[in-house]
Amino acid sequence: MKKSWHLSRRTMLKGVGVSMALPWFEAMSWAGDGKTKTPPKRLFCMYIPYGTCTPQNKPEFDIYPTGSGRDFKLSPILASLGPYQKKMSIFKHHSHVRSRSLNAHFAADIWLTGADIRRSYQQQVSIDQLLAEKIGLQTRYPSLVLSSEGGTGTRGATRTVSFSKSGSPVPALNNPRFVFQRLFAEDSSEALKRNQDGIDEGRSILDAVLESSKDLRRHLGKHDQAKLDEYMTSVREVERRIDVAEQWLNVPKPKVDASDLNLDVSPDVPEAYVDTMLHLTFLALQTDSTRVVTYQMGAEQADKATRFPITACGLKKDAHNVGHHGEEKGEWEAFRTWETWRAERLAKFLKRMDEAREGDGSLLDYSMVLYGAGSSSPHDHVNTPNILLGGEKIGLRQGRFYNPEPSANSKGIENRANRHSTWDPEREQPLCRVFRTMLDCFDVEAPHLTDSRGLVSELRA
Amino acid sequence: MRRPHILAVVLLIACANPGEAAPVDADPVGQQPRSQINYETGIRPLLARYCFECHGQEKPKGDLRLDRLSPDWSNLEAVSHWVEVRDQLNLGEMPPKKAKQPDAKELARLVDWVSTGVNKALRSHSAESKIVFRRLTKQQYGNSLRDLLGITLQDLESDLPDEQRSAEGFDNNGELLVTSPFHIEMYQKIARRALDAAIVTGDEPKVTCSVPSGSLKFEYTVEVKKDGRKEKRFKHLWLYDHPDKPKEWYETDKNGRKVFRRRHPIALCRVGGGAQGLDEGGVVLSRSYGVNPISQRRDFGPLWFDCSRFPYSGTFQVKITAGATIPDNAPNPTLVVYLGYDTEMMHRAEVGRVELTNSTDDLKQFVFTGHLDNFPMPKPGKITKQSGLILTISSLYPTPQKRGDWAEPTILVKNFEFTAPFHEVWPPRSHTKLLPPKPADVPEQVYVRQVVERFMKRAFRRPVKKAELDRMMKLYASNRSRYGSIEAAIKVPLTAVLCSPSFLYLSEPYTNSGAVPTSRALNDFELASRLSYFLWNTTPDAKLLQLADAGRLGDERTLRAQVKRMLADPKAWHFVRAFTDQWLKVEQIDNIAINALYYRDFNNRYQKRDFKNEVYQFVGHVLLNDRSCLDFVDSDYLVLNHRLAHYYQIPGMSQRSGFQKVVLPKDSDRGGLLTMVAPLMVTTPSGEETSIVKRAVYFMDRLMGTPPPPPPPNVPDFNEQQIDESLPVKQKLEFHRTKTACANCHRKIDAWGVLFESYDAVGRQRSQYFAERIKEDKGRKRIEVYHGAKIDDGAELPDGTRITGVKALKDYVLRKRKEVFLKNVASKLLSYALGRSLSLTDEPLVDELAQTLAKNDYRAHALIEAIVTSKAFRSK
Repeated sequence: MKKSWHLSRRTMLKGVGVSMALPWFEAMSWAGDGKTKTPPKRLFCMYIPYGTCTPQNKPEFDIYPTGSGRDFKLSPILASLGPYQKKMSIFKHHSHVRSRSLNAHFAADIWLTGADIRRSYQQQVSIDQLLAEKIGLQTRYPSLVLSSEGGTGTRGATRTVSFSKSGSPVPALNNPRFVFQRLFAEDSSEALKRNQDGIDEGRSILDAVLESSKDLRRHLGKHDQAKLDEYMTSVREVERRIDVAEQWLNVPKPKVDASDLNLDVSPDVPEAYVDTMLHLTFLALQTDSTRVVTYQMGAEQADKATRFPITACGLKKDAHNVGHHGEEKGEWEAFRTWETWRAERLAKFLKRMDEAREGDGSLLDYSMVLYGAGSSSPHDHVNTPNILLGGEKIGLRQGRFYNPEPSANSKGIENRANRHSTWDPEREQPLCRVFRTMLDCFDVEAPHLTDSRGLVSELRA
Repeated sequence: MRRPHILAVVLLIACANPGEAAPVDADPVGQQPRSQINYETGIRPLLARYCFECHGQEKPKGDLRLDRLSPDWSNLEAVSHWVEVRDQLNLGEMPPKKAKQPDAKELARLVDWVSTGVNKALRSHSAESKIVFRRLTKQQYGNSLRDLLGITLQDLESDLPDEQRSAEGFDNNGELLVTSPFHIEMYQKIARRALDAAIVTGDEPKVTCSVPSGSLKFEYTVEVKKDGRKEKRFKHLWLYDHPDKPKEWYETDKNGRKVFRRRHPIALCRVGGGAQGLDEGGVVLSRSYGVNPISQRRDFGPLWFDCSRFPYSGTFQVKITAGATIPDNAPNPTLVVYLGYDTEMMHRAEVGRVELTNSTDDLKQFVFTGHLDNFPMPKPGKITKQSGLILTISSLYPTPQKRGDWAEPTILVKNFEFTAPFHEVWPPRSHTKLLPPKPADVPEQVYVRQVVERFMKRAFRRPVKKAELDRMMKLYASNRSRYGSIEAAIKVPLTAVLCSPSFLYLSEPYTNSGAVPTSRALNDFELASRLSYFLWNTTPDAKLLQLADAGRLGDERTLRAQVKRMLADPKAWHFVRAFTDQWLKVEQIDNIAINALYYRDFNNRYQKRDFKNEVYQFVGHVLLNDRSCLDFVDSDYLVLNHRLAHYYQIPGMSQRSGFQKVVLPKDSDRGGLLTMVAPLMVTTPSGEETSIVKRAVYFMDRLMGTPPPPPPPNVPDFNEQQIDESLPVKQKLEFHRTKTACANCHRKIDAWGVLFESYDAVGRQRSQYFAERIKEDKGRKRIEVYHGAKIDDGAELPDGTRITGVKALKDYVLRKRKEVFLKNVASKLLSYALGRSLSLTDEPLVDELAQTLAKNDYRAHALIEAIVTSKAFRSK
């Protein structure tokens, strides 16, 4: 078998979906002692599959608000988000520049990565993992990757929206009990010993290779020494990560009240399941177990989550077919029902986030919540709705509807992948600019997002 | 947003009329005239006339004093100023518009002189340091692990980041091979995984998937069609591990109740499209009908097994008893076995293939083995019909040139066995090779010491010092208590060995710690490593290390004999593939999406593999079979399989499906590398209309080794320029030519690319360009591609020769630019062999190598041997 428990602890974590790198001991006390002054910054990204409701000239079925700028009125679909209108920004006509001609079933693969996969499937790091690499060492888990399906899925049908630095998918967790145990249950003494053994062994190996390196170094020319130093520095950095991991081993996990959590719920009961996953997300952020969470509510070409419209809303069609609507009677209504249900899940989560006090505001004020889809209707990679909520205490200026004006005499270009629609190349804005603005609040740069430059200035406080 | 095809059109026009460009006095591919320009007589007067007024006084403009700038290319600071001069000239920014302007001839002289000097200077500075301590590349690391441990896992290294490419295009450049913490973490993880695959603990795992011999019994019904034809319809058949026992039965349980029991089937067997009929206890396979000979796209194959219980890892074995019926004149059919899952998406990989020559009276057993980790596996979870592990057996043979040439050959599959996990011996060979059985009277410490020492010697490619071994033994001792067995515990020191710099780096240290000499000869072990990573891209084998141990490898005759031996070894294909990929950028065709609007019948998914293999096979044929290096330019043969022969419309392909040498018809233009599909495609990144500039640069850089200077900074791409698309062609051209920034260089570049114009992006000959128009269809706008202007592939080369087409270009290179080409082949191979960029000091060696080639009928082995025996290769 490939896997073996005595791999490094990091590998173990990766294997079960809590990703990479290891926590940074010194700074892990935020949630505990309450003495630290500023609450930490967090990010949560939630993906919804199979497009969103974006009909032409049917405002009653449109996810987008009417109006623009600071003066906008939420659509019926987003009515449940009413209380947070001042805390959100909605982006219309935003999408990934290099994916506009792609088949929309690749939407989830590139939602957070913005990778150019037109020619071949070359993934790059997703914004959450990029952030986790920068701030992840400060918490027990650098990031928490969730999805309703779990695992990694395949290309074009990914079951995670997070991709590591090398572009490989980070496996997602989908079992609520498992997530809970990982975050809050004390490890058994055997598990602790096993982890300690893994750490000791890893350290002894690194010690040995470092000693060999020193021997070798004495016999190298100056130039070669510089090359070997690069290697030795890397080994020391890995040692440091192991040290941090070891310190976490002996720190008790946070205690939370689990009485209103139903951990045995399955995706067959969508409403309870999605709410539980979001509740766990809330707890993970609140206890500062991690500061970066992603949740893919459903995958394109998934199993159970594709049936959510049937199992949750009593519709006749699954998510794929609801998204592939025509103009028949009742089809837009069905899509709206499904869309409204999804927004209500978000609203419930936001209520929790907004009610939790944190520093001089709420947890929502210190967290960015990105709720978005990789495609519009029907299955287009253009005009993809994304809503960014919260984060007002960490650098965002909220309460705006971004609705770029159509260009005066655009010819409109037909979507190559989807012959049903055209898009206006002058109007369509790069979504990566929004991402870069978000990361800017964390002082993280994203030079690899090359399809655009600059930030969205109105969004940055 | 401008679309990229505009670029091609604009440039095309620019290049089709090179006569109107400024007069030409230097030929970049020839290289001679430029270096002869003298600074004092040819350049300084020009600078004095046009530049010194502003840049030759106290407080010069832009802080740049040209009168004091020395033409000393060894001074890096001076070079950086010259780079600035070059860019300003190219951009047409200097001299300023209102000042005196040099004429075109003077400008060209200046630009040539500066560019040549800057290029040489930069090259020599970048490689000043000679061979550095270089890390194994991603591929070398994977190959070495597999060879050291005797395992076949193909994806070991796949999680490592790709390496950076040097200016020459190679990824084994020591300077650029960096190591990050991510590497260290991955090395540990990969080493663990590889060791777990090689070293086993405990008893042999139970076979979980076995389709036993004799289970191949088919049932069918006969359906009578409307027209009276009878057709056999095969039933899908569930296979059971004990076919003779009942499938369902009742049992009495403990409580005395009757319980219904059902045997779980082990596999579902299907007979698909290409199965012709049923014979006594076997299936007759003809080729799957309706197969496109190029794409092979169709169903999963004539005979397949869907196994519902199977392991996800480990080795497997397939045994097939089969024979063929081969009508007169018909080719031998090839039996091909695939393993994978999902019939529709074709997630499968080839297990193996064998050409059948035995008749059905003389049935033979063919055995294939593989490692499940190397195949696409179904996702774990509930396995239903058609979602299990699917093994396919099918028959392949070339398409007849015309119908009725011969009757179809068929394969009779008489019997069939599939076993997983399969172990020929237990423990597997990889295990006993590393850990031979421990004699009872040898103490553990002694035994482990022997094992670790032997492994270290192989991994470090040299004898091991006592201190090094002691350190690993200490590591073993400190971790021993955690593990129940020697086998498990020994993986700890072995992991450390595989993460050590002595394994990960090609280190050539100095033996005494005193002053470091500037150069020294390599010892035999270091030479073995260099040789092995050059010609095999992997770790040296036992034979090389033996010779090194005996101190005999340094002997020139032995060395030459070893080169011959290594080039005849299958591992030499690692070298061929890596070198070809990096020299000719072949693998990049995977990144090109051929636009179906332009190329309707091109299949992105299946054809590219053939196009890549064609280049590997051809380069391999030349390098390994000691053919003439001039074959790269033009040859009277190609190495093709039957699909490629069909694609190129080359008749007379012998009736087999695999790659082989095919003699071209007399009038064929296809000889050599330039007209293969991969180079023509890799220079068309848009996947739409071809690009003259890209092809010209590819030819100049890759084939001739004389890359044009890079475009100056801030030059916008053509597609971003505001050229009105509705302008007539002629005016667009003029717009382009008004930009001096472009004209200075492009008049020397574009002609080479124009010659390729009669080949499209997928390498087919053509007579018309593509054009796009927007079509309105019921109120919707749609892009339509049609055939537009006629191709003109005639061009005037920088030396004034006027030629038409690629065939003429090949002749031109062979007649007039042979030395330049040979020098390029020599320098590319030398740069790859040394793992560094070449510098000015290497030029004499490159010249010598090119002469060696010329003296030896251009034979590839002469070049390789000359490189290996050169001082540069044999010293540090």
